[in-house]
Amino acid sequence: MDIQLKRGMLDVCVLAAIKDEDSYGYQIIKDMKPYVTISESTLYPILRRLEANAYLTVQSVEHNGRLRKYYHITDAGRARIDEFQEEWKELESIYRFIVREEPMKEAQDHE
Amino acid sequence: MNKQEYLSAIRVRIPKMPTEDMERFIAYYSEMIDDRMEDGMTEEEAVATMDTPDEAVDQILEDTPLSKIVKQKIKPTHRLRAWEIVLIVLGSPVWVPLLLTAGILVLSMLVVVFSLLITFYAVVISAAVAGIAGVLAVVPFLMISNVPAAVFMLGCGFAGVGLTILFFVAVKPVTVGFWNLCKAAVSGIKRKFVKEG
Repeated sequence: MDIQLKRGMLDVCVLAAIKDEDSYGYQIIKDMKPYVTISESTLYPILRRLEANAYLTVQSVEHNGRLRKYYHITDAGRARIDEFQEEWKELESIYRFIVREEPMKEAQDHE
Repeated sequence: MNKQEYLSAIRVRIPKMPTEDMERFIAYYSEMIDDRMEDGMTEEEAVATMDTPDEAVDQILEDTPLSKIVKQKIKPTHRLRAWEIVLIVLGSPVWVPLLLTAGILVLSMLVVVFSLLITFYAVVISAAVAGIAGVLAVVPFLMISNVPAAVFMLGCGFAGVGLTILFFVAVKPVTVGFWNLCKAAVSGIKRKFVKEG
């Protein structure tokens, strides 16, 4: 898939993975797995980017005698998910145009 | 490979990475392995399901801006002593011009490389213009009934158009190749900086 397109979508995927409750790296990968497989080294820059853009905040929480980083979505992060849904409608209409089978009959009829 | 080996494999590949960043990667990859083990994997299995250290390092490098790496590289390892500061100041007539020269060299290399690319585009465009103009020039020559000149212009025009088509096929691979070359150069420079020595 086009790398830019996929990168943008994965950012939103990660936000969606933490939108209901805070989550940590491995859990995010596992939650996404049925839909899209990403590796931890792909996830790392995404998390960094989302943090830099203030779409999420990071908190270290003690767990079994070690620290685990939990990611918490911000309002800006939620807004980004909504924004994506709008963008998706546009993408969908582009998709329908690409896969349409009938020739552009209407356009010809108008002529 | 166990967890310690995996983490130190990452460390040795990027020893000159800024400490703060390095600790963040290590904490991240360490957490990933721990969470896999908590999920029921053995240590070896956990590491085996991770990206290889090389893949991990590639992502890390891609994510770190070159300026940050260079800054870390030139940061002194200890506080400068008085005589070192004196030396730096006294030596400035030597190292300032040298540094400037190095900077200007890099800049001119960039300019040269980009000019090559622009020249290539210019050649393609001029072949196209010459080709079309050659074909069009047939009309005035025919109007003054100079048939040999018209045929000559037509031939030249076709040659120009043919060249354009040939070049056009090369435009995309050349541009993509050029872009990849630039990316490889940046990544190569980054590697040079984070490696020991």
